[in-house]
Amino acid sequence: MAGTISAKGILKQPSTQSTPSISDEQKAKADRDRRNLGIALFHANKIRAQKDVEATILTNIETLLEYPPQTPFTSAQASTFVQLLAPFQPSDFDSLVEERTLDGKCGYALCSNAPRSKSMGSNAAWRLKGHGAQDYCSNECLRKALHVKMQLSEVPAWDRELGRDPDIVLPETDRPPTTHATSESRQRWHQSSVNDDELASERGEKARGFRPTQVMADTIVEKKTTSPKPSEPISPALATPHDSIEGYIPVQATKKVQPTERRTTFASDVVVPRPNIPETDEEASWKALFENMSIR
Amino acid sequence: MAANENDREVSRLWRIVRTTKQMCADRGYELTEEECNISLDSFRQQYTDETGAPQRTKMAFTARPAEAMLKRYTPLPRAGQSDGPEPQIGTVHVEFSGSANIGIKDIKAFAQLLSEKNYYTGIFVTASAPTSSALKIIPSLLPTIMEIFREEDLLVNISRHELVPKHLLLSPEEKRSLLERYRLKETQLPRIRVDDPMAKYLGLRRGQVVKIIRKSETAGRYASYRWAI
Ligand SMILES: [Zn+2]
Repeated sequence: MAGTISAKGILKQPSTQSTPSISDEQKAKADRDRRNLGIALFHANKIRAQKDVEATILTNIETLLEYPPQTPFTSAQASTFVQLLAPFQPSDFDSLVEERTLDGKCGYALCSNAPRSKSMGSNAAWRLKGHGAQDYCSNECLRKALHVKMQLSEVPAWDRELGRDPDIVLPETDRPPTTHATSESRQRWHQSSVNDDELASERGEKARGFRPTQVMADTIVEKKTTSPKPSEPISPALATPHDSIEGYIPVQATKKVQPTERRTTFASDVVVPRPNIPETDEEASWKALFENMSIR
Repeated sequence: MAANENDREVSRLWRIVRTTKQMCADRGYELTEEECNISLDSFRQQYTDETGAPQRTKMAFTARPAEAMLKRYTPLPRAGQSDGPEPQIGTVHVEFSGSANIGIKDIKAFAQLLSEKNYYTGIFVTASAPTSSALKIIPSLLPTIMEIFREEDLLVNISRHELVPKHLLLSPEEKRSLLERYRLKETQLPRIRVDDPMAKYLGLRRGQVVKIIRKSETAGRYASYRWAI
């Protein structure tokens, strides 16, 4: 989190310092500023955490594209495999499988065989039963991959609570030595699979996982609920009786009301300059935020 | 039958390559008029093998920015800086890929080539959509700029369409004087997304400003400006 601006630093603004007597108005403004800043920082940190996690996942996919580094893989490599998968969501796992099969490798990253889409030719997809079966060298690998994928969290890693990455257990055949193994090899396995979070807490740091400390207080505040805005009435021209079926207006008719996205490009008739409207505080803080981010 | 298939594919690629070269010329790279408007016959002669099948690898090309483009991409000198800043643009290299699948590895291989040959910008025109992970790694390749275009998006040159107004990139100098003249901050300008079709056509980068010139029957021509985000 290098480069994070602490909330305290920013709040020492001249406006609150230089004036000896603070009017109510100024106080309210300062409060509002603080709140907006809190919101902005919360979102900035969240966006940054999200970017970091996404970058990590991409790097991990790239690493796992070259997996396994040797055949048979070592227990340390199996452990790395599991650690690299920890931040994944199931969709990221699908991306990994996609990239591996494109590269001519079995979708299960601990297997170095070719997927059946390569070995069986183009008709593999319909000759094999099971969704995605052609992406693996065998049904065995398909089963193993599903076993792993099922344990991945649907929650994006940046939204997970600290240390709440899933503990992924490998399929039995790929598990480290247990009963038959000597205590020494068991220990080696344990050493290699030390949790990142444990190591981090030993160092006195917070491990990966994102908790926005700035705006998290111990006090619980009741969330204000507002009733949702009533949907916009359909323009009378489109809501003519012939459109409605027993009082229900089909979706297609209402769609015409919505502007299309492309409109923003070609059909804006706004001519610059826009009047020089003073920005609201919220706008300003958002802008500062986005400017900071674009530098990154 | 196969010959027919080849013919269709050749004329399709002819349009795509032509649009790509026109796009590069419109951005300010040095390309001749003949290159940009090559005839179908000469295209067939140059880019097909003896069976008449198109050869995408032969279609790759490289172009240097012309003087005007270099100027338009040179940042304003900072106060106290003795020598002028370097232009933020250089040679562009364009490749065409007919592969049915474009993954991380293909993008990385192209990026590798770009950095080895010291190309500033790479344009990768692909017959099929790259995987989502492949698209996601592109920002991580900076400072190499890589742009991906789908072949089907280059079948017609959108900038030549009569309903699309003329888009012109402002130089940093022009941008500054625009903002000064109207006492604006850039953030007060209307925006254009960098993934907008015309922004992609011009290779707009965040923070740049385009001038958009429209023709109007009542008002003649009028200009508006947009800030790329
Ligand atoms: Zn396998």
